[in-house]
Amino acid sequence: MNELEQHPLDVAAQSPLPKRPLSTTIPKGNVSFSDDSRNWSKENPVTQNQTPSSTTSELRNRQENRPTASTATSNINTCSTANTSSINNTTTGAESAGSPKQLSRRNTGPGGRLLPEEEEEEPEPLRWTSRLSSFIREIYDQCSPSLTLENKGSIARDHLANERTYLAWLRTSLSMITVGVAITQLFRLQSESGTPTKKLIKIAELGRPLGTSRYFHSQTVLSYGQFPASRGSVILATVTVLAVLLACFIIVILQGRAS
Amino acid sequence: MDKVNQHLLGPRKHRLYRGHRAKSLSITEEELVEIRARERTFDGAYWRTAMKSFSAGMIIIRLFAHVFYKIGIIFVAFGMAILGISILRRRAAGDVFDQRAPFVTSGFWVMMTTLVSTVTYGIMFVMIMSL
Repeated sequence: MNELEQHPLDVAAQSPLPKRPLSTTIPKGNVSFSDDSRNWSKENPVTQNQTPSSTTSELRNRQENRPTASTATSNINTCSTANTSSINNTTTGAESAGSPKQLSRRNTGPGGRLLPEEEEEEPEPLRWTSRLSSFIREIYDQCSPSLTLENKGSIARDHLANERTYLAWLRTSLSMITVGVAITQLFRLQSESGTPTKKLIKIAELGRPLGTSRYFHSQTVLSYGQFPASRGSVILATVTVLAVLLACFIIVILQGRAS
Repeated sequence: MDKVNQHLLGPRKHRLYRGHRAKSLSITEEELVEIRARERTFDGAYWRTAMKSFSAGMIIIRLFAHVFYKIGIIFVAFGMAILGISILRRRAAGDVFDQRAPFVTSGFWVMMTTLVSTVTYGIMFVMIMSL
């Protein structure tokens, strides 16, 4: 076997193994690799007890020196080390990101999301579909509203709780809309069954914006629901609900006086 | 630890969790807490939102006047959209038993839900105003 026909990984690692004496004793003719090894073990029988351990350690070193196949695996390794190292710390993800062991965090993206290190560009021209998908992924990475945080401690649970709070706001808005539709139906029923005077029709016309004002209210509630609940949003929701209830009460009283 | 109830582990019984099969897996406290949090979010919150929308649509369709028929149908469609979003969201959420991968927050899905609900509310607003 020629030296040109070596395994590419061996060529890349540049063979940290100690040089065997067979390199000097190789004859010029065609000698296969297995024949070489057999000859070598026969030639040096004394060192055979020591060589396995040394060769395994050398192989391990070579595996460590080998360039990593993908950056994702290296990221995962660093994540696991971070998990084991600081499993007791009750820190948020933003605080502990500075230490060099853990995932590198970039300040360019919103919220400091984690980005994998750039892989070396392939010289081959990609197909247009893969180029399009990579372009879309790049755009998504640039402007996606979701953050990528280290998964340790209670970070995942906190963000899931945040999501639950948002869904609770969404449910509140949904029930508001249902009540608004019900009130619209109520005013329509009253305008249909009651005496068809013009005033009642006008009040029914008032009832429709009342039902739809709940839409605005629910939309404000929804937009506030994206943020963590604060005093301002709660006060605003309470004031709006009270105002809508007061308007409903006043309209009902006016209707009673009119009839 | 006791053995885990099978339905907690989902339909993928043949995969390995931390190197264990689903039958012989014993869940630690931390993993239980994580699983509970996920169930509260995906089974509790999303499912409840969809159920609420469905029930509101049913009530509107069955009880209200015939004019409100389309509004009820929009409620039901909104519930179905929320259900689909919840399914995709559950798939996008990472593995409980593999904590090495970084956690991706749900900003994208919140944006999707906001978009869907805004479009739905806009349509309903227009329909109520044009009754």
